[in-house]
Amino acid sequence: MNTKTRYFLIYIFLFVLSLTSFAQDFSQADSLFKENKFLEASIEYARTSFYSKDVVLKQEASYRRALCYRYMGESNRALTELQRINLFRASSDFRVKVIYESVLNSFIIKDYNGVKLLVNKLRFYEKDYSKIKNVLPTYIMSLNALREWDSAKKEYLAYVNTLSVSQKVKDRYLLELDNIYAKKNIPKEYSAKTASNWSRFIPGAGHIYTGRITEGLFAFTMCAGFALSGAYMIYYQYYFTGYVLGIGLWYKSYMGGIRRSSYLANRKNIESLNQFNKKCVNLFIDMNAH
Amino acid sequence: MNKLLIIIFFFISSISIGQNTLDVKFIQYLSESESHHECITEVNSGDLSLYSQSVRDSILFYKGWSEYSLKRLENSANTLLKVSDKSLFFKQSRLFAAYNFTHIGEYAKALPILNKMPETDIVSFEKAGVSLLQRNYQAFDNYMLKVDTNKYYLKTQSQKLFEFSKVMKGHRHKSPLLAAGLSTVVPGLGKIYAGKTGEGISSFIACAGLGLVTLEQNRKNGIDDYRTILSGALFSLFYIGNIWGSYFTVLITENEFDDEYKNKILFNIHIPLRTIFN
Repeated sequence: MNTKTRYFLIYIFLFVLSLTSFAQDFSQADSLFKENKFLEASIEYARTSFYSKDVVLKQEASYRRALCYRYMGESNRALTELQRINLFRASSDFRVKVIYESVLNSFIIKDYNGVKLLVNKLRFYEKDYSKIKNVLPTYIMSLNALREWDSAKKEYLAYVNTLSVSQKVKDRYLLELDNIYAKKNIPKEYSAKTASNWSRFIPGAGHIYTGRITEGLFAFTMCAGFALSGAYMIYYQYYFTGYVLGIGLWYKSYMGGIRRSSYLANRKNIESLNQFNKKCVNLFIDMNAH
Repeated sequence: MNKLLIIIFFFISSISIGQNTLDVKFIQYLSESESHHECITEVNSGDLSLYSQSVRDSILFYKGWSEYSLKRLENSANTLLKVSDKSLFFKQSRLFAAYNFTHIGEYAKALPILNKMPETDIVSFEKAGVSLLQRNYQAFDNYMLKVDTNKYYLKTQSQKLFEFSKVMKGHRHKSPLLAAGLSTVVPGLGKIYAGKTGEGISSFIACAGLGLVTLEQNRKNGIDDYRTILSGALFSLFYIGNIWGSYFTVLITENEFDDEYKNKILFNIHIPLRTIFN
């Protein structure tokens, strides 16, 4: 074989190799992922999915692309990508992985009913409780957000019972759980309508209803001050001054107070739910530390 | 010598293989599966000069399309303009490049693109849309004469453009100075003239109320009293503020009208494009 032929064959070999080596595995994509280059990694996963005829590889690529999207803060796209995966044809472990990722993304976009639906789907596919276990913390947070306290507690109890810890530790968790979900500790739901109605009836009462006593008293004093100064001026025959400045400013502060109390009720609901979920998360962390 | 040439040839070839090889089908897949960021990144990672004209055109088209989908309209227009007239995507690229320039208000760039294209219904229709946006009603009417308005993809949208043209022609531009003058005479009247009746009435009530307060203070306490001066200052502030506000209300109302019709026209010239090229 002469030099020309030898070089030619090497060239052909390398060329064919470069064409056929289109990411039949995820090594390049995974290394990009590890370097936090999620966009570039998602392209490599897409490339694998596009060139491969292997259904399993394609599905794994879609799953990993969804991971990239979640890290890129695009949970909606991640969900779309995960929905492309045919779960009927997937292996049991992979199915759990996909649904778990979908649950996470649904939770991130605050689609709590979506989380419920996905967990039900997982239960339909998987009868083995240990496979569902990882999804439960997110599921319980979603049930809390939906204010389905009984269901959330039931799930939590089931979770505690599966823990491989001593009965003494388990009892401690159950006690703590009872305390978290005790009626007095469950976040009270503040109705925006009730808050605004309270403020409509007595200025500042809506603020007090949402727990803002100082602000409520201030709102009441301000409203009463404007109304009294208006009345005082009218009494001393300063009709226009009394009406325009006294009553005008009273009206503005009165209406503003109604709107503010409605806003405060909604904010209070979010804050109290976050605090409640924090307690639940801390308990989960404690459980998993064992 | 021959050996050296062979080695150089293989070396150069290997370098080109070493670069990211762009595959039109893969780029098309990315663009069509709504992975637009990925599509643009993938195209940017390769060297387009290594490819034949037809491959390069297709790659540029998909890149331009992804940029258009991500609303990077100026970039999209510039990319689509690079698609050569040999490409199957040429017509679509030019029409969408013109549309993108129109959308960002670069009418002077949009029209020459359309003028260089063969005079078809869709081209004339798009030109008519651009002319309407430029308030060139004569050109709009002329271009619309060349459009077959019975074509299914142009029928409804042509009717709409005619309606918009009628409204825009009949629209009387309001003067901000006149509004300010009216508010000087009667507070709030300038805002009513601008079409904001509610705002005008409320401005009148506020100004009249404060005026009456000042008069009352003056009558009871005299002009030197601090309460008269304070309420007078407050009234003056509201009065002058209202004149100033009326001037800007007219400007805002006019802008709102222009924006409303701009969006309506853009929407209606976009529909036939998407109908044809979907």
